[in-house]
Amino acid sequence: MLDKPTANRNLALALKLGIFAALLFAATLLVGVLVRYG
Amino acid sequence: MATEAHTAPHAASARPATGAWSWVTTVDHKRIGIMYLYTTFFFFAVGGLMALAIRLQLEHANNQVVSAESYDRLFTMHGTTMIFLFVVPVMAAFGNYLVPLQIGARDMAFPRLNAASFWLLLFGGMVMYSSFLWGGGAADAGWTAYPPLSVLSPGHGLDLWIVGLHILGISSLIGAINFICTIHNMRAPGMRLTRMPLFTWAIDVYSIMIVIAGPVLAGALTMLLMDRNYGTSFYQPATHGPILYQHLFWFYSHPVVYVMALPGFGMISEIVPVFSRKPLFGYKALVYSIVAIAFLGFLVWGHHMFAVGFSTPLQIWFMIASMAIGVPTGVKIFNWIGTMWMGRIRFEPPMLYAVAFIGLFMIGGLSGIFLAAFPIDLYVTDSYFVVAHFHYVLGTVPVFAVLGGLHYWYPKMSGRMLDRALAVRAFWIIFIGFNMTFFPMHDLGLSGMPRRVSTYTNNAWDTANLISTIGAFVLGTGVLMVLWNCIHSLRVGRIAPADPWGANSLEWYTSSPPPPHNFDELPPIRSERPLYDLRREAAATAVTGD
Amino acid sequence: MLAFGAAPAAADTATFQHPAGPASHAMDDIYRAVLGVTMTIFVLVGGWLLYSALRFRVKRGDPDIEPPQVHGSTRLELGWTLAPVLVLVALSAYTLANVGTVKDAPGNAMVVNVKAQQFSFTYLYGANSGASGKAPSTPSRLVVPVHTPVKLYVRSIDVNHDWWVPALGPKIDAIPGQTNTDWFEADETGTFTGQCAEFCGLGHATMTITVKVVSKADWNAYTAKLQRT
Repeated sequence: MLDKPTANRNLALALKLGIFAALLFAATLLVGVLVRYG
Repeated sequence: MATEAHTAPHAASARPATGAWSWVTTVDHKRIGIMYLYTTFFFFAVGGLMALAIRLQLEHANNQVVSAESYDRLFTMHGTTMIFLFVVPVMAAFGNYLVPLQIGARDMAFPRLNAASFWLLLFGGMVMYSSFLWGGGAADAGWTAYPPLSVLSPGHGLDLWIVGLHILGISSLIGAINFICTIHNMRAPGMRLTRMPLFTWAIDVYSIMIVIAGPVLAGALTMLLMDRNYGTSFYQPATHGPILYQHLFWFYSHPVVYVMALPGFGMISEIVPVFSRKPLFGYKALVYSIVAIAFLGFLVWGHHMFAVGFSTPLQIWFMIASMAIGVPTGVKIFNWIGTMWMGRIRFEPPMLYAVAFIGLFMIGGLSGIFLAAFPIDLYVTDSYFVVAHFHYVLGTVPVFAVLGGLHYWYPKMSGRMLDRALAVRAFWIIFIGFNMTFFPMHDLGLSGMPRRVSTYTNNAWDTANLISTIGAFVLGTGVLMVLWNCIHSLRVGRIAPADPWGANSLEWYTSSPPPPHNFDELPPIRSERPLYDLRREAAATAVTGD
Repeated sequence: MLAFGAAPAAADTATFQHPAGPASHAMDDIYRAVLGVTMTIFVLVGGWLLYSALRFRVKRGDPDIEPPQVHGSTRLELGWTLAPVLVLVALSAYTLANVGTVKDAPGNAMVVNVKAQQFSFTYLYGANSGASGKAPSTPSRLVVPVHTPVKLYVRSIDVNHDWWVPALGPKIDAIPGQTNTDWFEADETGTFTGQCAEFCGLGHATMTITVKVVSKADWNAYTAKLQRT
């Protein structure tokens, strides 16, 4: 098992990357909406 | 050159569990890597068979081996399979197996998520391929799926294609997040970023690019799915929807070519120093060039769209940025040759593949210069010249870099050596077949043959097409020989020591294959070549006495 | 690898298909410039690769000595970064100098409206043609006079297509929802063929283009006849 600090660092980084990806996905859809209706 | 393993005699707990169920439930990065390998190479074979069907159809003018409908599905699924089910995930295969070993870690940051990425790959591939069996046939709008054609494509093949791609995208994304966390948080003491093997560097950058580019493709495809099924009109012509799609699609799909190529470059950077018996020439320059290529790779997507009616200033920008990428790529090539220079080169099979890769990739890079100069591109885009170009830059990655890596790391993964004579014969057949298949396509494009045509009427194109078709079968034969060698050697290959090549990085320190926990102990890590340093110390001690 | 050093030989045949107009001549000029540069790089770098591979190979009976462990050279890195930059800057500059000829129709160009659809191109003459509003006598076969700039307004009514006649000049996409422009001027009379160059569905492979270039005299007779229809 990983030591706690490393596990926490991993989780924090993974969450940041995941949120970043989700935001980019949403931003792409937003661009689509703006181009279509803007 | 071979050295003994530095692992303790295997205790019972250090022996891996056997049986199919242990593989299905595994979270061991090495087993997951091997499952990735089997899966991606399976899809390589399927994509390859599609290519052979395409080449049979195009073997001469006015041929009728397959219908136009089937042909359109074949080239769509060939491209899709090779990119999304082979080259992108095969890098994850090697990355999964090697990255923890190369950085001295016990496993990836998230072993269970790692298993999930693999199963999603398999599931995504199955969803996509189910379109051959139901829903009215497989996708048929090209791997690029441009609207309006892709919105209008009847049946559900394209919908299954999109859903399959979404699943693959999630697999790829969580894999990427796993790699980034592993590389940044789990390196052994002493394994500074500036001492990491180039392959691991490449996987780090591969992963970062996937995180940035992947979601944009997902967005673009989601809108396509909605236009096809839920009455939306994101891609309607009146608001320049077709152009919007191309921008979003290529914003992902240009970087994805570097996603595919960079780990291949990483493999070459591992192989060349070992078989030249020298350190990598210009380690830092090679790292900078990986980063430069990745960065520039996000700025050039418009070079796929030179003919859509851009303003001239925009075309000029994309031309200059695309030319600029040639610079760090050239730097890599020069450093690889610089590594070979004044070395003592052993042409074991991995080195044959690596040297071939350097030469052939360079041809692809040079043909790219023609394409970057947009006035020429306006002639050769959407012609077989482009097909030649991208197979020389993108086809060389799986065929030469990855097969080189396969020959290099096979002993580590399987504990056996490949049959060297067979490997060398297969290499030459592959080399000849590859060039026979793709070199004539430069001329075909320049002579006016467009791409994605299910047939052609111009008999002047017959000869080049015939050579290309024969070449494809030669190439296929060579690949089959490699696959046979891999499978056969599992049973009869010579037992492999920990380090059969006299290599430099940590994976060669442990046994072949490694125990489940990877390392019993690690050597001191004081440079980018820990094993070389260890050998040097051992030799010095031997000379001077204890 | 030497087998495909036949590239220079192949290159002599691999030029643009009978360039027959200023746009395609300009493209051909840029092509030859790039060809010269890339062939030189291929020979130099490919030669260096091949030489290294052969010269520094371990041969049977060679003593087992470790070669000098050279890690790199900052001077070389700077040099072989700068040199490609200069080459590419020069190529870009030469290309840019020729862009106008490739892309921009002269002001007095004759206008032809091109309609792309699954699976044919049809034409309608426009301004400066002497047959404005008329279609060619065979709607899918474009007839134009020699030595006359022709500006194409290209549109599609269904999916993406692309109009490409290799001999005459650059290709241009036909994208529904917008009108793109392209131009050519034919140097010689004759019939030039091409085909759709953007995958557009089942009939893509047979969506052909025919351009018949006639003498000015024949053109005048032709437009006169069209005007009477």
